[in-house]
Amino acid sequence: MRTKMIMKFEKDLTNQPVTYDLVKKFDLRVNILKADINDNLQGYVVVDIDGHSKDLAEALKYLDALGVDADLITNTIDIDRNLCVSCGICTGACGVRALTLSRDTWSLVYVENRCVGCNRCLGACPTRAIKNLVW
Amino acid sequence: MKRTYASINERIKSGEVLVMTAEEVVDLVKEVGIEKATRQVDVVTTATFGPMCSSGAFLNFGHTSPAIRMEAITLNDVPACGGLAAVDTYIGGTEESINQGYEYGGAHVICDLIEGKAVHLKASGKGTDCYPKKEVSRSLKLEDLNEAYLYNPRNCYQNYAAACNTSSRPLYTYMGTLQENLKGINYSTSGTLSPLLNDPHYRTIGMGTRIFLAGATGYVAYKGTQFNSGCQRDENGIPLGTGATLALIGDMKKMDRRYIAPAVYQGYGTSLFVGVGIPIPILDEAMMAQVSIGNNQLYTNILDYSVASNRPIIKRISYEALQSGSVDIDGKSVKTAPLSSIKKAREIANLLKASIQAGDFLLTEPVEIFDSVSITKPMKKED
Repeated sequence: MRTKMIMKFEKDLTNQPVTYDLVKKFDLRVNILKADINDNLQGYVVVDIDGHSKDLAEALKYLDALGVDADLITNTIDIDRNLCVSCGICTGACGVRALTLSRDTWSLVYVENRCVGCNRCLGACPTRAIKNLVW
Repeated sequence: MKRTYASINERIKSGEVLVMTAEEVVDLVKEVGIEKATRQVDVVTTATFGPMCSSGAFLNFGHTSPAIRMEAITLNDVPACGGLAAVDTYIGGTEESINQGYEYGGAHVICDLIEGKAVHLKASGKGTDCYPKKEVSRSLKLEDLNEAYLYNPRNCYQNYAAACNTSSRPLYTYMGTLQENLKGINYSTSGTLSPLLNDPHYRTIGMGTRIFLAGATGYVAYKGTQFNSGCQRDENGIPLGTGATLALIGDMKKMDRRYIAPAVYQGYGTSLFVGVGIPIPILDEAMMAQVSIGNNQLYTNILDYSVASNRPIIKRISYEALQSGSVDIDGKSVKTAPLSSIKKAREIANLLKASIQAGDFLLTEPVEIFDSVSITKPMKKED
């Protein structure tokens, strides 16, 4: 299965090579989408993961035991359909075609599994209808 | 085959009228030809829903007791004009909040009022014998005001150039963020639905034309500012450049938030999405020929916004190509993104069609026809 996951680290865990372990121990294909460490040495990593669901379940247990706060992301952004006017300017900002316009109805279409959470659509949206639900 | 405004209105009243949207009529003419389509269709509805910076509203708050002459005015912290009579103001759509900047502007104030929300008025004056009060601060809703009407000096650009950027940094403009190195093209105008592309010589859209404005009945008040009707035109009479514009007026108290919305453009500022619907009477075959021009025959220029003045034309392109999602520039496929909502424009064209068919909306002959010779001048050079 393929999914996105956010891992949040406390200060004592930021030196752990967790991504390495996910690849090496659980045979997962890990693609880092976003990562940051703040002034207090707390950090987070957003990854796209591909692998067997059994291996992923084992990896989640491992992360839990380690003390990493890991959550699977099913939906990165939320579009308030009352605010969205389907102007479509966000489709120009989106580099992965997660946001497109239906050429039939001209409604905004969001395909969540394409979204990498870059947040470019948030600033591009003139009605401020798009929020990031995860970070 | 000829029709008059009176004969069309008779057919509206009797319920016999046949109305089509500007999109539907393109297909009809393809099928049955101009002559037959002219006989069948009485009215064609056009619409647009795009960001229009030159928008704003006149408001009258009623007098306080004792009275004040408002000189410095803010509404939800957004400055409004003080240079009118005691409790009149004009709030411009692009005016920005003193504390929040462009995340909240005049457009937001206008839309909050239309939505029925309370807006905080703060005003001060120097105090005179007839207007002794010097300060006022209170919350007001749209229903508390005497008059509130949208008056937009320039809406409905007949045609507008698409924008791109060949420089190496992104540009933050009223056309949205233009990605560097020609990575994208942004365009406005709803193509074949767009009002003035359907009546390019202003035969039926003129001063006094009754329209749909943001959910209310509105009117074309005058020529829009920067009215450039004397521009160059293509073989179909469509302006190669911006062309004409319209000044629009309508009662805010009857407007609907679904058809007007505030807009924020990163690094640029606030603007206002305005929903406009304009009916076009099919007076004769020439009128039908104009409204039946489809997106494959409607063209605009793609301009390079990285050049500050006299922006070079990168390519002349059809709205069909722009609306397809990508266009070819020198062998490279470049993504396109619209600024104006075709979904909303289509919804408005259909709403107007329904209200004409229901007998709720009669057509008006312009009080005055607009000229075709105006040229927009640049600002006079320094002496």
